[in-house]
Amino acid sequence: MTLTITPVIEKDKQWIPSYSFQEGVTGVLIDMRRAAVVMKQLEKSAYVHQVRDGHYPHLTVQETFSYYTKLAETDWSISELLKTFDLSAEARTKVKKLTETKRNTLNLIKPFCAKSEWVVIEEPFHRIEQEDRFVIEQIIKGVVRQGKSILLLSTSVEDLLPVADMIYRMDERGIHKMEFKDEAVTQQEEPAQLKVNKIQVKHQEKTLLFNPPEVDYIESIEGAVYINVAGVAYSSPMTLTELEARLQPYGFYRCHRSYIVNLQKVRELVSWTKNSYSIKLDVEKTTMVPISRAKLTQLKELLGIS
Amino acid sequence: MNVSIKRIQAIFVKDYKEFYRNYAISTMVLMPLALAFIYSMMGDMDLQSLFMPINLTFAMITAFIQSCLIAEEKEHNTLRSLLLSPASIADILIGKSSLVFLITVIVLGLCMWMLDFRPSNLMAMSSALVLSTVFYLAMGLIVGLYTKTVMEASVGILPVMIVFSFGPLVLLFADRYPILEVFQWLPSAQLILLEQHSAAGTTSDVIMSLVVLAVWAVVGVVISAILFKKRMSDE
Repeated sequence: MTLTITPVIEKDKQWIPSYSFQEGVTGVLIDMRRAAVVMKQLEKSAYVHQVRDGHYPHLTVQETFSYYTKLAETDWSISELLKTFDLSAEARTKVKKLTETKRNTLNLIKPFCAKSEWVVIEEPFHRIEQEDRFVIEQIIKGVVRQGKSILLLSTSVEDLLPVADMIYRMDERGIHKMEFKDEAVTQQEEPAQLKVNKIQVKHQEKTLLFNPPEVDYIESIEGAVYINVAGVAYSSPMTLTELEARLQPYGFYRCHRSYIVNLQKVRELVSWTKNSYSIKLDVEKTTMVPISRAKLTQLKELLGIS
Repeated sequence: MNVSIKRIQAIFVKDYKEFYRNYAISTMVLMPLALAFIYSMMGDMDLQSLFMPINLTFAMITAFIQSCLIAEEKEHNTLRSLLLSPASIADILIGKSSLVFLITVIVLGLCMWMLDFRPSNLMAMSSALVLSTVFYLAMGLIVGLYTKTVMEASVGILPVMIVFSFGPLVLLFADRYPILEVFQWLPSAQLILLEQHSAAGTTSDVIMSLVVLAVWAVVGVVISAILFKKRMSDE
C-alpha cells in the first residue's frame, strides 16, 4: 500500500506537492513547517510519531512497555523489547528518572507498537547521543521486520542516511529523489565509473555523491572549493580545474577565475554597468555568480543570446 | 465503537499507577476523609453536615481526579498519540472513568463508615450515589477538556465544588429569600432530600429525587459527549 500526500497551494504556488510513497523505509529531507503540515495530513492514514510527543513520567520502563503492548493487543515478550530498546538495565527505573537519550529511545515504543501499515517518524535521531544511535537503527529495523513501512522526516541528511532506503528532498521545487552512497560502498565500485558521472563531496565523515545536474554552482574561496547544492555548500577535495574538465560535458562553464556555473540553471544575465555582468541562478534563494568580462562573449554564444 | 477489555484494562492500570504515584493528586483523597473524621468527632449531626463530606467527595475526588487524568495527558503531550493508538475513545473514557468510579466508591464507603451513616433506604441511596457519580464524572470530563495542565484543572474544578458541594448550604437562607429554593434542584441537595424522604417513608418523593438525579446524569453525559466531540475535532 502506498502512502499519499495531497498538494497544498500557498500564495498561488505549490507549497507541498502531491506524492505517493512506495513501501519500505523512505526518508524525506524537509523543513519544519512543511513537516508539520505533512504530518497533520498523514494522521488519517498512518501512525504519526512527533518529537514533542511525551510519556508517562511515573511509570517504570517495564510498565510503559507492558502498557503499549497491551494497548496494541500483542503479546511480545517485555524482555525482548528491553533488549531491542537497550533498556534492560533500566527496566525498573521510572521514566522521569531516565536520561534524555534513553527517554527519547523509549518514546519510539509508540510507533513500534502502532497497528497501522505506515508509520511516520519525525526526526528519528532527535537528541540521541552519538553512541546510542545504533539503538534507534535497531528499533527501526524491528518496525520494518513487522512488515510496516516507514516515512522518516528530518531537516538533516545525516539522520536519514543510516536508515532510509530512499531519500527525497521536498522544497519549493517539489519533491526529488536524492542520490547518496556510503563511503564503504564507494570503495568497492570501479573508480573509473565514478569519475565519469558523480561529483564527490565531503560532508562530516560521509562522502556524498551528487549527480552533476543537482549542482547549482561551484566556488573557490581562499583555495578551498565548495560545491553548492540547493543552498548548501559542501567542500570538495578536487580543484576547480579538475572539476571544470570533468563537468564540461554536463553543461558547466568556468565563468570566472573562482567560479564554475551550471548553465542549465542560469535564469538571467544581470548587467551592473555597461561591461560588468552577474549571472542570476534559478535556485531557492536569489544567487548571483560573478562573470569575468573576458568570458562574457563566449558565455553569450554558449547560451545562444546576443 | 469497538471496545476491548484488554485495552480498557491497560488504560485502567496505567492511570492507576500514574494516579497514586502523583502525590499532588492522590493526597486529595485524604481531604473528604479528614472532614468526615472531624465531623464524626463532633457527633450528633443534622443531614446537612452529614452530607457535606459526601458531596465534597464528588467534587474533589470524582470530578477532580477525572479532570486531572485528562488534563495530565495533555500536560505530558500523550493525548495525541493515545487518540492515534489502537485504543478507541470509548476505551479511553471507560478505562479512566472506571478507575475514578472505583476510587469514589471506596472513599464514599470510608466516609459513610466514619460518619456511621446508615441510609434509611439502602437501595434508593446507593442508586442515587451511582447516578451522582456518573454526573460528576461528566463534570470532570468537561473540566478536563478545557484545561491543559493539572494546575489549571485544580482551578477549573473550583466552580463545580462551589456550586454543587456548597450549594445545599444556601438552602439554610431559603426562608428569608424564597428565590434560593432553586438550589434544592441541585444533585447534591437532592441527595439530602432523598434521605429525608426515605426516612419519612414517602416513596413518591424518593422516586422524584431519583428521577431528578437521573436527569442530571443524562444531561451531564450528553453535554460532555457533545463537547468532547467538538474539542477533538478542533484540535
